[in-house]
Amino acid sequence: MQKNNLIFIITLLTISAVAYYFHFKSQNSAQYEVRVLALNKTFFRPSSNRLVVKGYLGESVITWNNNDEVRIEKSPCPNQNCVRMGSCKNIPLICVPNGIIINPTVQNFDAVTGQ
Amino acid sequence: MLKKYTTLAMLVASAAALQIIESPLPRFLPWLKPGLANALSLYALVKLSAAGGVIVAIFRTFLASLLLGTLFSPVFIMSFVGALSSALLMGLLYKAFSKVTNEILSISGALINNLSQLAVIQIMFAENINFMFHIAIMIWVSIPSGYIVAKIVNELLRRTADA
Repeated sequence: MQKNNLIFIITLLTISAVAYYFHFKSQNSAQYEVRVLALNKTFFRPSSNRLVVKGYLGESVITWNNNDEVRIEKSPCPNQNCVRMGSCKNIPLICVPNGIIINPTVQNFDAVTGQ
Repeated sequence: MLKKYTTLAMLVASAAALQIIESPLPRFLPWLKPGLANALSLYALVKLSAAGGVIVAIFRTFLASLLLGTLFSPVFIMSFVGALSSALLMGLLYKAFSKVTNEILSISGALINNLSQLAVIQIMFAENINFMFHIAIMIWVSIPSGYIVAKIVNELLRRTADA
């Protein structure tokens, strides 16, 4: 194989590896939107991984762990069902009494492969 | 001049035939195919001129789509844009770099062909495409397919050196 061809192929393989790395990274970082019905606002994951939002009844504490799992840590709701749900990934978490909806966004969906 | 036109016509017919033969082959992804028809665009580019490569790319997509019954359908648009962008890029590289090899031309052509087809899909049908994933896969597919096409062209050029 000629030297020029080899350099060209190695460059392309490097670009491929970088592209795959970014793809892999984006696949592993699940995105969530936190909708607060009382405020009619949407929040996203903060860098501190801890979000405090005020709903119908009071403040809810939402936290993310290193595995990109989200949970409602504290809630003023009477039954505490949302807190008992624990950490979840890629499924919605809803606290009806406090009006908090935590939805995984579909940013990683690929229309060509359907994955 | 007549010889040049005859050669071009034969290349267009052969490229269209190769495209028709390739079309029923199963594809795992919409842009994934061997791209043998591109060999004749590259051959026309090297043997005749950069314009020859573009002419073969344009006419072979029209002819193949007409015979396949997909003329002016989305499949034709994907095929046309891919073939045209590939021929234009190969022509540009051929003119710009004197030491460029057929392998580099062919792999670049295969890659830009796939990329432009994906861009057409994005514009026409789907907004949500994971480009990083497709680029990574495309490069892995384009290298062997482009390399094989370049070897075919090298062999064709060797056999027709004094023609």
